[in-house]
Amino acid sequence: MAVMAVMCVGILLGARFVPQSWKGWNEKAQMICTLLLIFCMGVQLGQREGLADQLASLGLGSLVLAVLPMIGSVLLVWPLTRWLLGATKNRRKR
Amino acid sequence: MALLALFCLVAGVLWGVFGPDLAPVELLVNNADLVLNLLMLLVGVSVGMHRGLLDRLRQYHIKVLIIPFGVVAGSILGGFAAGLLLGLPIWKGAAVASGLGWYSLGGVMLTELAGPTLGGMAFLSNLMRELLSFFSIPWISRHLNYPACIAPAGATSEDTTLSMMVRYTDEETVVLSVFNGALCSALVPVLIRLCWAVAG
Repeated sequence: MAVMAVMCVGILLGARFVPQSWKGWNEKAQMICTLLLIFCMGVQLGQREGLADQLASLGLGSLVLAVLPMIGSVLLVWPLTRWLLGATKNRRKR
Repeated sequence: MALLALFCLVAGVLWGVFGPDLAPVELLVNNADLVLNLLMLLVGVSVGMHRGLLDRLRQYHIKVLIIPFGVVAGSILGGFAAGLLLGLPIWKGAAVASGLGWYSLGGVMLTELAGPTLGGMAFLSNLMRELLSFFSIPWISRHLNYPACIAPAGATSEDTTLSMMVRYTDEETVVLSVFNGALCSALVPVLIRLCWAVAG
């Protein structure tokens, strides 16, 4: 919920105060934050004890339990959004 | 961007395993929440700069629930299929799948409910889901549609994978992604307990 509140503050700033000319800088800053977050995620994973052992013994079953729910979600969301939201492949990109 | 992301992930893992305890890195990792909040602020600014977007989202009304519905239902059905394939009771497969990519909570809850083996699988599978969705979003964005990018991400669509939504979709999808992530995150503990209760 705090995340949504921060986003709302950003929306207000973007709608009222931030000039359009800052759009490019905003996108670059987002990319930097993104890459830093991914790096942090990697560090936390690497620091986790026993990760390598867990991967070895439970890896394949875990992979199946990851992939099938992902596929199930995509197979439901894709047609539902095409049908009910009109979301086709050829949407205008940013 | 995907290659850069992969590079940063691998670099981070290697640093976590072998790297020294450098104060700047520790500071960054311990305050990753601040970086996330900054990202959210910047994403909000992008959204706010997009004129007419919020009006369009208001027009969705109840349709904003389509994506979370699809994510939850699809994940549980996928959990059933995985359970059948692995020889697990299907509702236990569904309980693991109900983590929706939230590997820390999913792992902790299933460990508490079912012990370290299933808890370990819950942790790993939801971790893999987050990582795989990260790298599948560019493909989905090109070959399916933008909202479908939210589906594999599940509960992570409001934070970690949000950055990929920002890069590969549009502002409208980013807002739907945050809403989906928030709702799915709230549902994860409920779904895990419900599926476990049915599993008996």
